[in-house]
Amino acid sequence: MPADKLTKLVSPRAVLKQIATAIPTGCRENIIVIGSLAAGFRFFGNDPKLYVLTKDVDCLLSPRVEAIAAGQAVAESLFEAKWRYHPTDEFPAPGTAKTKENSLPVARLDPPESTDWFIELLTVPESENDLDQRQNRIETSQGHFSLCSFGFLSLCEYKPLMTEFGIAVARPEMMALANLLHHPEIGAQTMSGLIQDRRIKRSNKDLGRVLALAWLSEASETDALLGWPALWRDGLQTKFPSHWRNLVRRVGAGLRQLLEPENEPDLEEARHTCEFGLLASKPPTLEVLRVTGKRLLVDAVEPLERLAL
Amino acid sequence: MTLRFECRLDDLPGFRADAVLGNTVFEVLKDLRDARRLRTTLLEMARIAAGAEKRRGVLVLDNPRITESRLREEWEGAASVIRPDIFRKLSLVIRQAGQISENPPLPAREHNALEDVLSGTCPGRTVRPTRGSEAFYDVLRLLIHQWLLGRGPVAIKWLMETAGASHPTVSNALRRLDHCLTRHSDRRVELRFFPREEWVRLLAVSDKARGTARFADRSGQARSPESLLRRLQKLQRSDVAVGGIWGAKHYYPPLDIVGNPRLDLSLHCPGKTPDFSFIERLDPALAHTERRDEPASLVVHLVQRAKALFEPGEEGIQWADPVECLLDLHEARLEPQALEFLNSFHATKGGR
Repeated sequence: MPADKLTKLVSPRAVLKQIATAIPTGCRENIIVIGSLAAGFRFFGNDPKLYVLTKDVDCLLSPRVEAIAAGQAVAESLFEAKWRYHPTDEFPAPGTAKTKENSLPVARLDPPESTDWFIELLTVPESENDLDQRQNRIETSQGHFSLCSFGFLSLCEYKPLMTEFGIAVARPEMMALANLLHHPEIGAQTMSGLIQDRRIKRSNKDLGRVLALAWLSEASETDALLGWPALWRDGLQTKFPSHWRNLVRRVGAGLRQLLEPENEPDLEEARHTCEFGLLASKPPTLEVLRVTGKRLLVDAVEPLERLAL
Repeated sequence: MTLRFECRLDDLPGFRADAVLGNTVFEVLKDLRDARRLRTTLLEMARIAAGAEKRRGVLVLDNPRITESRLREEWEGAASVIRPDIFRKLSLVIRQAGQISENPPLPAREHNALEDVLSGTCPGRTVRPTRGSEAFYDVLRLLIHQWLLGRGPVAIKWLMETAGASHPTVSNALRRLDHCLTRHSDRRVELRFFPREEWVRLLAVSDKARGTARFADRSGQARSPESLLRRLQKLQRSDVAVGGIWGAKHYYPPLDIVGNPRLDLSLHCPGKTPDFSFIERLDPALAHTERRDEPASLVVHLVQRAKALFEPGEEGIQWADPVECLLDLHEARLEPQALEFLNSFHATKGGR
């Protein structure tokens, strides 16, 4: 199954090792890898022959109080190791001291001698009430960048899984929860890039990711989804202590909408992102994704909703 | 005019209509997801309607998973290729979330029959226990149940109350079994020996007599029977019991079998449409299948007599009665295990 020119097959283990090696030892504990690479490492990491289709490796800098300093240290260290700024059409060059926060490019860096993927630095919101997207300036020798934070990224900080390389990966359950909360309904916003020549709604991609994570979890461990409600509740209580119950009410809304028969075109988009993402080695049918979504509702979402009563 | 189910049509050998009312043939598609299947069925309906001058065809879609606009497209597409005089004899009925739409509206007698058509074509269709042959097998199973467990003779009243059958029905059944019964002076009855001939006949019709429904996995990652059982325990259903291999092993732990490829359940639904909604709670990936070549993760057998005779177990489990378990083993083609299970009972060893 061919990858498009932006998305490549990468080995999760090899990429994590390369990142860990390039990052100062003291900063490794500040990094939590999230996104498809984290999921790929969790589910495919032990098989060196299995790869993940991705173009970016999202690295969450945590905790928030150390994020700016850690972000600067990490970026400088990577620049010293010959990593380069990853230019885009919108941001062809790093920012300067004069660049306003909301005009700064995101801190994205290419590894030396490769353009197969790049690292993107993010951080968590300052508080549980801070759900909007924020741009946090970091200054480096190569220019000024934005350390982006938004929404429910803090959930990915909850009990991450430590790897042998000294950096952690986010739990699939928490990444799924963050995506579910980000999309209580299917929005019209589309991805900036195409996924295998198709323009896909952001909601469908992220909810498709949730379904892929659920499917992979069940594939790796019988009844894995049954453990999600307690973990979700604990994560929500930890990160959103004052209004976690309100958040529980929106966890299943977007997923339920995606599974409605009249929204089959959206489910098909979600399926497409799975086929060219985490489930590339076993592309699902619409029916498989639909029943996976229903399993997730019955085993995880509904029990969580009962726990919040 | 009587509504009949699973009828043959003389001009269409090999075809069995889901339901027939006079000149109207009903075909029911449940949970339809595949537009291709819809198109095929529409053409089949056209063929049915063309087969006899006064015959009509009604296609009923129960809870279709295809969008309304797509259904309309397919219906209009069919109209463009089927001869108008035949298409006029077809109707499309859609039931969605309890609401029924008809295109075009049905004549009153067809409309009034819809509820029965839909409930009568549920998976594991209810066999009304008042019909003679089914009541006979209910009585037979009860007598075998009592005989296997060494519980001695039973009163006719007990048979009537447990089977949910009338005195004449039970009496007729007992007359058919006279050659293997002991009739006591107090009018209680019991089997003298295991009625092999009648048992073999029961096995031949057990699928239909028990309304067996099979459910296969649609996720590509079938849940194990153990996983389904754990979920069943949480549901705490009083109308569902475990049969099959697990049930047999409950009564006879040394049963020689390793592993368990599927979960057999007995669902108690006396005289009413079975409620399969609990299956979605066990696993939403399970879908009813009528294909015998498709492995079933879950098989549900209906217990339609008045009393279930489930045996309470621990941790939310109930056990189906041993006759149900024995029938389950036969249905699963586990003949050596069925024989071993049957022979494990004291009664079959010649003891009382």
